[in-house]
Amino acid sequence: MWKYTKMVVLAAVTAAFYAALVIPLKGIPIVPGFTEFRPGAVIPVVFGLLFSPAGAWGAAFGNVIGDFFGTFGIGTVGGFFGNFFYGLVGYKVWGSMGIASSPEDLAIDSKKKALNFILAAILSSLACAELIAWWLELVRILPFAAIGPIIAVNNSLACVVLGIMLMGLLYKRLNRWDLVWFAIMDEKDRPRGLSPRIGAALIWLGVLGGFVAGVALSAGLAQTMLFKIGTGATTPSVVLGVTPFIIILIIGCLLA
Amino acid sequence: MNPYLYESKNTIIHRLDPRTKILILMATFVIALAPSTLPHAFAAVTLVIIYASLGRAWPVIARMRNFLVIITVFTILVWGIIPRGGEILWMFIRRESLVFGVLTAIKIDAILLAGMVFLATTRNEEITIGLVKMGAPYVMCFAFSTALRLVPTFAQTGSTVVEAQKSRGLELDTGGLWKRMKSYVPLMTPIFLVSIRNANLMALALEARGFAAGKSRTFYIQLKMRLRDWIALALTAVLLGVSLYIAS
Repeated sequence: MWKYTKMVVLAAVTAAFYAALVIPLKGIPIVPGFTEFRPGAVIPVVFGLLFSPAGAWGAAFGNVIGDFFGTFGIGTVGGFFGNFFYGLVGYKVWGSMGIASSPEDLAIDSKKKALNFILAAILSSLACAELIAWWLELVRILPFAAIGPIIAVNNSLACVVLGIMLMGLLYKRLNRWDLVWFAIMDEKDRPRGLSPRIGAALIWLGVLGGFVAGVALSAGLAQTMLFKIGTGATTPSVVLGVTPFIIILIIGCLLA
Repeated sequence: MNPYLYESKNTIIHRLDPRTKILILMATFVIALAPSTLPHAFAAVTLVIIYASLGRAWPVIARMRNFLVIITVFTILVWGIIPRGGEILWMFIRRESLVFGVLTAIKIDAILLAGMVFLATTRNEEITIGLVKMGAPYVMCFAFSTALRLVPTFAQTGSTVVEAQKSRGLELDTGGLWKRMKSYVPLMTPIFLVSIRNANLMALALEARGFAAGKSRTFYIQLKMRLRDWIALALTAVLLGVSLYIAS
């Protein structure tokens, strides 16, 4: 992707849009220092579908730039990878869920395609939440159960409410201007996995399994009770429990 | 319009090579995360405060003070409700939970302060060139630095479109939150499309100037590690070693 100048610039554009939409709302924190109300969270998924890896890299860079306005720290590392996968996962599973015919079939012109977008958006949001919460648990800054669900819901809401409309506004015009990824990249350079369907299945397993395991372990699993949340953070069980699912997610992305 | 934290000053921290500052930042993260006792954590945050004073970064930190207070209170509350043993101080809050909450809040504050000092003393261009010289791929760093430059441009495009629509009678400041949010939606199309179209032109301009032509490139900013950089790195290494030794 990096040999195409347009893709490089589109990665920068995605990052700048994401940062420009996130920065003004830094003042409305949900988890102070780590996440805030962010309608701009729609950008990674939509631009990930439109620009493929350029959208994913843009999401990662954009999150770092957003952190330049007060939240730059150890969490930025997790944010970089979390947002990269936030932009990547939707594009990877888009054509492999039996609704869209291919990753290039981006027009949301039916209820089924809208459902495809919603599923991809929720999966991407969960992937982002899983990775960032795993990282913050690893460095023992915040418990998985406290941050994971908040990021997942925050991102999913932005995507579901604004995403379909934004795709409708942008896709046709960008396609006409040859500014979508498959119009820019030659056929031979387009990222094609060995087995998209198996890859997509592994992504689903890695994301759902990791997220559920992380929340369950962090919340104390069997002995969950009020004011006992986050007990997993006192031990490495959450990190150890989620890590295999993250590996499955990465393998899935390589195959898809 | 420059929304970033950098402030041009003539301090010893400003004069350090960006690579040195990146390495100091990474070491500071480790130093801040290592403590498991309150005195150790206070020592770590004191080091960051000294670093901030050397870089005269207090005006930037002062801008963010409310933010730091909120983070501190929130962190103590979150960790305070998680049981960790010890005597009960009030309702379900135990002594160890509260101590751990304060410890984590200090760590987070130290990390965020270190980040602010880094951004207050290092220009965006220096961060980019520093990353390139440390081995990061040039095109990725180029995309990153271009994005940094585009953020204010896009914000300007946004405000231009908003003013244009307001002059045509669009009301953005009336009604409830939902109505106001909906009013902004039609503005998104021109903002996105104008900006992406300009990006397309930028790609053409870059190629016309030989971007990605393959030859090794030169840079306007020339970096050179000086004696002060090596002294700063040596001091950081010693402090890192001492911090890890105390933590172990």
